Amino acid sequence: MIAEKYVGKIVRKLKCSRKRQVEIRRQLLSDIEAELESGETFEIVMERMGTPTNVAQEFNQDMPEEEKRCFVRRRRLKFIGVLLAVLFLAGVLLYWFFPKAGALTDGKNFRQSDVEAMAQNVIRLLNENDLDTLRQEATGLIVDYLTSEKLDEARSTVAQEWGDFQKFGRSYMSEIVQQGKAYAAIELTAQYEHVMVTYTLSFDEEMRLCALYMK
Amino acid sequence: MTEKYERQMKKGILDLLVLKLLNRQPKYGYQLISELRDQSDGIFVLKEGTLYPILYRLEDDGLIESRWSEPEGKQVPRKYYAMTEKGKTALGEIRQVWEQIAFGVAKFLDGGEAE
Repeated sequence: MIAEKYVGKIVRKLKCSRKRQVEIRRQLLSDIEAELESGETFEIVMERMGTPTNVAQEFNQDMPEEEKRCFVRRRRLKFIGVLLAVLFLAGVLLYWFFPKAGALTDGKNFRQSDVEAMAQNVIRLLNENDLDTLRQEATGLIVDYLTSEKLDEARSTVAQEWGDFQKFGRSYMSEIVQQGKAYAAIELTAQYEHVMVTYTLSFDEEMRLCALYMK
Repeated sequence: MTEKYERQMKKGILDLLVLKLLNRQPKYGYQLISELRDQSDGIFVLKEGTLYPILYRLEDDGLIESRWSEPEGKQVPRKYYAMTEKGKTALGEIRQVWEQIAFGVAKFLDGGEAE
């Protein structure tokens, strides 16, 4: 066990092919065993052979050129391998981090009819100024923005006078996946007496309102 | 200072000594180290890091060949090196070269060059 550890330290420092490393490891262990069989202690053997660094240095000094070339090739390949692995991981991480949008279809996360109904419900609550209920349906940062002052400010950027709500128009939906979480986004038009407003809303997997935009 | 030159001079003739040791019968690494030390009265004390690269080079040149032994009982397998025909021829030639060098050097050193 001690011999294997000692030889392992030598082998790790050898500048040669993997095949040669395996061969040297086997030969050194065999030599140590032969010396132990002849009555030497492991300490004496180690003293005779030298420190792992010195033994490896002696090997490396006289290693055949082809072996040295193999080592350089192996190290280069290892570097390229590590680089590719890092790039691959970075790619996976970036892919995971950035949002990926696709058509919203009835699947495991959302149903089109539910998303549309929820969006219409949110707009109705906005029209009725029932912000307490709306806040309970929302999550995240948007909760703090669901106040009369903020909403009036937002409404005034669209038009000063909206008039009464008339009807809903067309809607477009998409599903967005970001950092492992799925969101449903819906763009829904609402006809008011004096203005046509396009709402963009997004919901998380629990159908809670995450974002609201109007124009 | 002397140690450095001694090491360099020894290094140049190690191939010859290793081939000579393998001339009669196959031997494994540690056996070569101990026989070289004993037969040279301790002048040539090799370490594994010096011996094995020599063996690899000689084997690459086709002067020796190797095989792992089949272990008997608890004995660990050993890698035996044996001389090839090409190695035997090379040994004769290298020995001749060495004798010429040794003769030349001795003659030069004893030749009364003013010191």
